[in-house]
Amino acid sequence: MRTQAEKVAFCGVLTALAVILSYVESLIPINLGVPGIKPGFANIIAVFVLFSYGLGTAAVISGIRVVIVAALFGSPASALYALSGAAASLIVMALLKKAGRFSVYGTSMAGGVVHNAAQLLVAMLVTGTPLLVSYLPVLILAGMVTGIVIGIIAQLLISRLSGFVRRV
Amino acid sequence: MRGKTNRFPGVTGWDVALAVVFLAVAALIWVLLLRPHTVASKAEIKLNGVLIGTYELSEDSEFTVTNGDHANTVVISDGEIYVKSANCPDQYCVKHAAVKHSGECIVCLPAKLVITVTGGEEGPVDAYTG
Repeated sequence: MRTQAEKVAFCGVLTALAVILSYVESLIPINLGVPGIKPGFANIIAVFVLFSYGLGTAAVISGIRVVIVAALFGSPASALYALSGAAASLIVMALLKKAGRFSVYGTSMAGGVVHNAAQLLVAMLVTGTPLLVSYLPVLILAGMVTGIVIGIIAQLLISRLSGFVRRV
Repeated sequence: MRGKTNRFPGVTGWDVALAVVFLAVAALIWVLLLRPHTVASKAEIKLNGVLIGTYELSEDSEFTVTNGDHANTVVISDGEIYVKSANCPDQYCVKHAAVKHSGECIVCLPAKLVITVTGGEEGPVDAYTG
């Protein structure tokens, strides 16, 4: 067991990585005709940290990442959507992880779906437009695809860094 | 994760069940909202959820909707409506394709602007727009 400082330092690196991943993603123009579909690379960090350190650490890192990204590249409005999506997906993923019956892939898939659904719900509330629910099917599919891909990447990280994480 | 060396721990039956549930929900909503593509006759513009104007799609026009610092330039042309330009950071509303089928909408979240096209042939749209 090493010192707490080592864990803090490692989490700082992970937070920086999450911010950079968000930034790189913002540079890639993706336009599928439906707003809100993006890979969500930063969630690789969220899933990895959730499975390596637990919900508390994942929540702190995601929260800091969302605030920094909104301050640097976004707006208060984008922070609201990012925060609601991140919080909802983290809570659901933590519950599925606790259930102990789902793999990282399934957990991450659910996280992607819930992330999109939560953001759509906020958009419906903010704009007062229930009609936006018509975006939900395509956002569910997109969330499944991105969630599974992120789960595969996160699982690789979890496997390869498990020795490191245990030491830290 | 202690003791696990397998790089790709197996997908469980629960994962598959969850995927099926998601697909079923997506399909259900899609089917429920399925509607004949009737060509709309009117465009309703809402700011902050409040209707501020209704425009005929048959008349070409171009106007700017402002909400605080936000300004969206909306164009009606050939029975379609689209956002030509906006000063919001994400530009989703500008990238969005022009809409003309009843029930379709364009949303600019930063400006809290919603453009919905309605009217034309009576469809099941009103059943869920409330």
